[in-house]
Amino acid sequence: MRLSSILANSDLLPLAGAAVGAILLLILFAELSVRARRKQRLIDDIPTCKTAGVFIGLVEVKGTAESEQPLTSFLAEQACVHFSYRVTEEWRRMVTETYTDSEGRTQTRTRMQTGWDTVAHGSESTEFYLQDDTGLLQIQPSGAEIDAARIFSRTCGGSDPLYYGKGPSNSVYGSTGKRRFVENAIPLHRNIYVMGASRLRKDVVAPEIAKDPQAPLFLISVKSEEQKSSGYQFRFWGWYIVGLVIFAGAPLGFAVSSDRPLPWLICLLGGLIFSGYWSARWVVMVYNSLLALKNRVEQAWKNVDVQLKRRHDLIPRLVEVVQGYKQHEAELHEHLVMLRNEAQIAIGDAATACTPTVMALKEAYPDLEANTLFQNLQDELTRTEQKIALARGYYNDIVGENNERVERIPDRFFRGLARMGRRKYYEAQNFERAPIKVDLVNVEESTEETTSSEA
Amino acid sequence: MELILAQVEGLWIFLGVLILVPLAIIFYAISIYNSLVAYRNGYENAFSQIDVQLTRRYDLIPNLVETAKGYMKHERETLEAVIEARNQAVTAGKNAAAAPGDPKAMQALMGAEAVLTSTMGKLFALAEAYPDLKANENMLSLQNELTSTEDKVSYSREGFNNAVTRYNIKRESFPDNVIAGMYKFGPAELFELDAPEQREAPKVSFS
Repeated sequence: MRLSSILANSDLLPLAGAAVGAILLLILFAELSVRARRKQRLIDDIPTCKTAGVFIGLVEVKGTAESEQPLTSFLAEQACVHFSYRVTEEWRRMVTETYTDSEGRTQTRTRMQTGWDTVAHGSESTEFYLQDDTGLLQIQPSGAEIDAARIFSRTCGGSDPLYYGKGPSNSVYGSTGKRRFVENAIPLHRNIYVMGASRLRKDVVAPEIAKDPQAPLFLISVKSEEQKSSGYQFRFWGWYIVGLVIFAGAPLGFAVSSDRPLPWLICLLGGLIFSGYWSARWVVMVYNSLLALKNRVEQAWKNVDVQLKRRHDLIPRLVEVVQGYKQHEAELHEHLVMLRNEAQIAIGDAATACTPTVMALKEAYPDLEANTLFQNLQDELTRTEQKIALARGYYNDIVGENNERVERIPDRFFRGLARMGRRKYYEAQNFERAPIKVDLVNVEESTEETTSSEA
Repeated sequence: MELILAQVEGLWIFLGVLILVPLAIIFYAISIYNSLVAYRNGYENAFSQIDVQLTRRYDLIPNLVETAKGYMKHERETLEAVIEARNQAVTAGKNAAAAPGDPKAMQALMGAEAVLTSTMGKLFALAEAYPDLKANENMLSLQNELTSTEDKVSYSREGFNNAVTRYNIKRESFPDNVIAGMYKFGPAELFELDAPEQREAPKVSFS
């Protein structure tokens, strides 16, 4: 057909509209498909963090949902940290509609239509803790994509106490007297998977996971990581197929409905255009995802340095506090021992006047507690080393993901473009492998040992 | 006639596409530019947050150390006063025993006793009235504050690393890297271990 005859067709505006609509649909389905794949890659690439090793950034944690003040779910009345319920009521109504019959006359007819209307719904979430073998992490669930477990599902009639007990007292028009009660929740102590951006809490010096508009993901799910990953994979292929069917199938459907010859060529073209755009969008996503991983590996390495610096700055100071107090304690000890002994020595009347006070002093100043300080120092040493070990462990995990990713097809073809390569694992230095000498007699020596082993 | 009208309609649509599509691209480019600016400000802000924590540490810790030193000095001096008063009382007692009936000696003894009682009272008050504020409790809270301060510093550094990573990811992604290249959004550096004097941890000394 010539351009002038195309332009002469009075269906031009709707045709242009259809073209714009087609382009938007093209973009939409490609986005839905490729974004699902992006989420799957994020879930696969980012290693799981222990709660004690959570750093500020996008983290993935696994554990059980705990709370000291859990919610009580509305329908099932179970302790939980999130619930959402829906009550639907069935109706049956007579509907009149007009239609044109085979002789072109307008007729009306009535028929029965049935359906379900939502008569009540609600949901609630509370901040809770995720607990794993290293500790607790606070989670603020508002704004998260939540996968809850089905804990209640029942259909009943009006005679059941549930019907009005947990449902509204008024019925929908045409009600059949049947209601369906469904509730999903995250029960207490349930194993959950959370991925989201962490930030510092305002009340204590500890991290929490909360909604962050700049973060690509915020998931709270009762499903496992593998299930979430396959779920997104299914969506990736699903949306692609839907888009393909629409673009390859629409010309077909159009031709069939208006009795024109089947335009196989146009169908093929439609399918190819959609697949082409989708592939290009996918290439962009893979490139972006690889460089994001590369940057996260760098971040993990520098976070180890952050922990090393913390140790370097903190531990000597804590040791000095203990030393300072020990010195002070030694001085006081002398005096106090002497005073306590006074209670036994009689120096005429003076002693009788003072003795009760000295006795009381003995109780007021029990053996001085340099112990507590030392214990505190030991606890903090343990905690500091744990933080460093967790940071190094996380770095090794993400290097593992990186190295695997970089070898896979199709990612290996993007290596040059994204400037990615295999990374080295963190390895202990030779001197670090030897057992540490612990010398409690001379405190200065052990200080030097802890600070010299930073890498 | 119809043909001409149809062709004019076609022309409008053609012109519309010619104008709207570049306009849409320009708006998209502007939104990318703005978000690059926002992310860059994000990491610069996060960097200043580290300095906020470092300054807090620099200002807070010496004060806490001085307070702890003060507590220990006070405790020591109170105890030394007691010892001194006790020595005086002993001496006065010996003098009174050696010269019984001597009013001056008795007066000296009573005076020394009074001093002893009052200094003992001070020490006792120190121990009992404020049991949580004994020097060792104070040192314990100093240790806890040191830990908590370092935690804040390290979290702020992690927050900085995170903001830098986000910016770098955004800046290297397609299509943002096109705009970033055109308008000189350079790469950001992550936290480095070497730092100038001011960022050194303060010295805690009880000499």
